[in-house]
Amino acid sequence: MPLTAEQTKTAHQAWLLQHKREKQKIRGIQIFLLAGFLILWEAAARLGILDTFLFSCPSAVLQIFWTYFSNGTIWRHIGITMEETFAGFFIGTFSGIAIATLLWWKPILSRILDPFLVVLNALPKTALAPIVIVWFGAGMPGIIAVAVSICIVVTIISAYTDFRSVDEDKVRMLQSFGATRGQILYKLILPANRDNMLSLAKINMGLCLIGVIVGEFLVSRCGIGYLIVYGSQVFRLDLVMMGVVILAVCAWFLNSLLNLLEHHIKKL
Amino acid sequence: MKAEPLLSLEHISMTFFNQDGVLPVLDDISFSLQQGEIGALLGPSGCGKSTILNILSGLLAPTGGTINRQGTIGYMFQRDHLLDWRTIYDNVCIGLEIQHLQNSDLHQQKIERLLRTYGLWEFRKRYPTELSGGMRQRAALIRTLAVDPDILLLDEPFSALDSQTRLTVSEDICNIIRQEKKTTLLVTHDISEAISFADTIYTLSKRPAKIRTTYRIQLTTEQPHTPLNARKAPEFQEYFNIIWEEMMQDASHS
Repeated sequence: MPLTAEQTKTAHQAWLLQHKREKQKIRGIQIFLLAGFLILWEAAARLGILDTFLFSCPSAVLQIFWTYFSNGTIWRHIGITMEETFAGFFIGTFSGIAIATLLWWKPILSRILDPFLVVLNALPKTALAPIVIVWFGAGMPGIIAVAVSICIVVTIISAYTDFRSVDEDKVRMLQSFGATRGQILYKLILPANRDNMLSLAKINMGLCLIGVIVGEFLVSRCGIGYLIVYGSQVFRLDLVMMGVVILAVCAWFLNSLLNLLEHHIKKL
Repeated sequence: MKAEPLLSLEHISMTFFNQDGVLPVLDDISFSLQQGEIGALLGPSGCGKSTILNILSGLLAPTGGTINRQGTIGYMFQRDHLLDWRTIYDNVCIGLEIQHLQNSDLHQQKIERLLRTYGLWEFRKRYPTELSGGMRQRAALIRTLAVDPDILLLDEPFSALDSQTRLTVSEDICNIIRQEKKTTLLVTHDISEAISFADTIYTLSKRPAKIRTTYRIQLTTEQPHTPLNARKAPEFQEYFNIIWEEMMQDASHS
């Protein structure tokens, strides 16, 4: 016998309630795991099981964070790192896509450059960081250049592969109407790859953060990477831990920002 | 006296080169299409049919022979190639956009007429994924007709559809072409499709292809000449048998 309207509604509500409970349960376990880890760490440090000189402890991390926070210096460090990351991200992503477009436009160019790109892509880009810093200077320009050097080759190769993967018959369809190379680009190739470009942007943001931190490790007077490397040099592990936690929060923030952007663009 | 044909090929040959050597694809292809005629090139898979179309549409230059073409070419492909991010209306306008004609009232009216006549006007704001295979193929044809080509090239336009939609869609498309009085060249490997669609059939041999036989199809149908009615004509089976035997002979010659 089919359910009455009333029964269906009750069943739906029961399902909703169960769904909500499950979500609460998962969130509860997550909080428990994090809190448990922090409490265990703190307790082990206080009982002398962990050497606080090597491992620090949550209360010390919190204390040093408060110091940096109350005198406002923390914002300067976060700001510098973010600024460098954004700059590297925009320069790397846009010039990478522009070069990929050029390779698509002139296939002979891509055949000539192919072996160089393959080698550059396989090379761990962090190895180039010291050279890049020498060329661009031991400051913000050098650090941004390191970030760009880390993400640009991947951008060129992925974007070019994406451009090439557009159905050749669709290109012929446009050509049968007499489309120019430029019309094929902005009526087919770019819109067909919108989602690919968005996921490329997400990868790039992560890569740029790596580049910026590497750059700051090498040369800097400011930034989260500087806090981490300075902390380890003077054996202030609380400072190192604080840097790592702030970096994690920044990475999460950047990722959410791109998710938000993706959500908005896909709604269009 | 016969009028000048809209399209004629004289002794076209085509040879491809690759790493492994030389591949002759077309041997000696000659045929012509009169204004308003529907011709069909019928041949086995891989015999070089698409190469002929690529030569006709100017995407490839033949190794030998001459082409005479009066007017513009419109191309319809195996798959509809509608762009998923454009509405049906924007999809059928893409040819006009490319030729910078999308703002002309004349062309807008033409598109509206085509969409209304062929049952897509209510769907103009939908996206291709929301439409059936048959409707998508109709939209693809309207996209081609919108730029008003003088000659229509159909490259196995139904082969991506399942056998039932195939019949209804070929009925649809053939009726549209006859109503719009378009000079058309259909390329296919399907004998019944060729007989039911075309006025003239040119059978192609295996590679390197040449034209084997030309059939002028004359069917006695009382009703309008549509593919479904054509299939009911008494001569349909006769043509089918003759062409079938010819193609079988060709296949066994190797």
